[in-house]
Amino acid sequence: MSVIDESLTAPDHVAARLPALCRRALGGSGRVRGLARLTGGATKATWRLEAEGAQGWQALILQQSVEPARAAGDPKSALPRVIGADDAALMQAAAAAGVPVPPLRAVLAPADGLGGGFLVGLVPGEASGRKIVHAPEFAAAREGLAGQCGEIVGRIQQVDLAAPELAFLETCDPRQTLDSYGAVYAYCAHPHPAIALGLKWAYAHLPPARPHVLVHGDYRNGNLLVDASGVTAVLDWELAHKGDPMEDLGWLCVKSWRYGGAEPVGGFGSRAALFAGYERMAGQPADPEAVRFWEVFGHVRWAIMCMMKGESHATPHGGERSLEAFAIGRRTEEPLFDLIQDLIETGPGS
Amino acid sequence: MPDSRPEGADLVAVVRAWLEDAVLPGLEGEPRFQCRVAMSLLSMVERELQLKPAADGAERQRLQDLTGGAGDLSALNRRLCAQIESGAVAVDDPRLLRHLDAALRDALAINNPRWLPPAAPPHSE
Repeated sequence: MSVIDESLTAPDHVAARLPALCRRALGGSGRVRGLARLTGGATKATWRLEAEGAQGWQALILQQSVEPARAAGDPKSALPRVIGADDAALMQAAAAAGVPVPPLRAVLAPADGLGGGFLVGLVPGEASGRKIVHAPEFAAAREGLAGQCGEIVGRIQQVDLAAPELAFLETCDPRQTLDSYGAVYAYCAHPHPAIALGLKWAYAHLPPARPHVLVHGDYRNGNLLVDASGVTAVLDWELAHKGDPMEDLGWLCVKSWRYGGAEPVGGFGSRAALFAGYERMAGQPADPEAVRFWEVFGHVRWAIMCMMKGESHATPHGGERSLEAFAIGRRTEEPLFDLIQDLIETGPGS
Repeated sequence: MPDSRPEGADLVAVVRAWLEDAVLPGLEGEPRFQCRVAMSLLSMVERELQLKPAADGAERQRLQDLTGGAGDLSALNRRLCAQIESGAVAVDDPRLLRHLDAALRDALAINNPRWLPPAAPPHSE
């Protein structure tokens, strides 16, 4: 079992180490105030803080992450996991392509004593998918959001995969992706007929091969910062890889990311608007059949991710035993229910 | 086992109520979020104690009819998975879809009832 070294994320330790990091990143006194932990997991901790740099006080986000030391034979190793300096390099490449991302201030170094990760500027915006879908203050933003999300996918796909600083990116084509998640499912040793059905459907509907592009890998409502004008940042690049151009578009449509909204794209927009935005920026039309493949498989994928989170503690290589992990484990049936409703409504043959 | 009282569901309910009334108001930030997750897990256990026996019985019956097999739920589900994977049961078999729909509705009634669409109004003659 691999968990983040708790001492690296202990509040006192982080508070003690931050001033030196902030001086290195921002100049100035490096004084820190308002340190608050936003989220914590087994392999990740996110903090909000303000630091006094050469340009005065500024709001920052500290992301700490660790490389999970996965034993040979643990199929979770087959899933992409981009962290630390690689994550920072990827966000910079995306920024250069016009993708809104948080501005990088520093990549954590061993001497910082905080593990892997990075320090970025705090970007204004709301991350709660539910608020983005329902709150009145985002009504104007929602009008253009699906189109903007399509444009951003088009920009992500303009990132040059041959750039040497992105050599760490792994390739996950559709079949490899099914194989990887299928292996994680098998490893959980919990036969679940709805997952078996979903995988069977997916192998029978693999999209045609297309030239690979940069895929964000977790492009959905909940990983976007949104203000009244629209998307201010795309977050959580950990699952990025080289793969099918339609993958991010389909994942964004999975019902689990609609937060009770009636519209298919993130709960806030139409597929037509998403596809139009994509075509404007990508210079090629979306393939609705392939997008549908990723949406339908997305139910299965999210179910397997939930299962892995909730049940990996019981597998030979172990896993997280926490309130959050177990609560996510019990969400496995949500996307599977949506999958079955989808197949009943549209017919599994289509 | 002995017929001990209060029953398990009542023990879980009283812990959950204590978290809500005595603990939660004093918490903020991440601990408050964790406390809410804990309360939600306890609610899940309450619903499971109440609903699981009937749901398991119905699922076992459906699985026996669908797979032609016997055994406990776990064995029957393994059998159905193998039949799906081999193609012996087609992914568009309406009986399979009806069974999974029922099983997933029962699971969500325990794990997250709010995920289910609102019940259709009863048919009036």
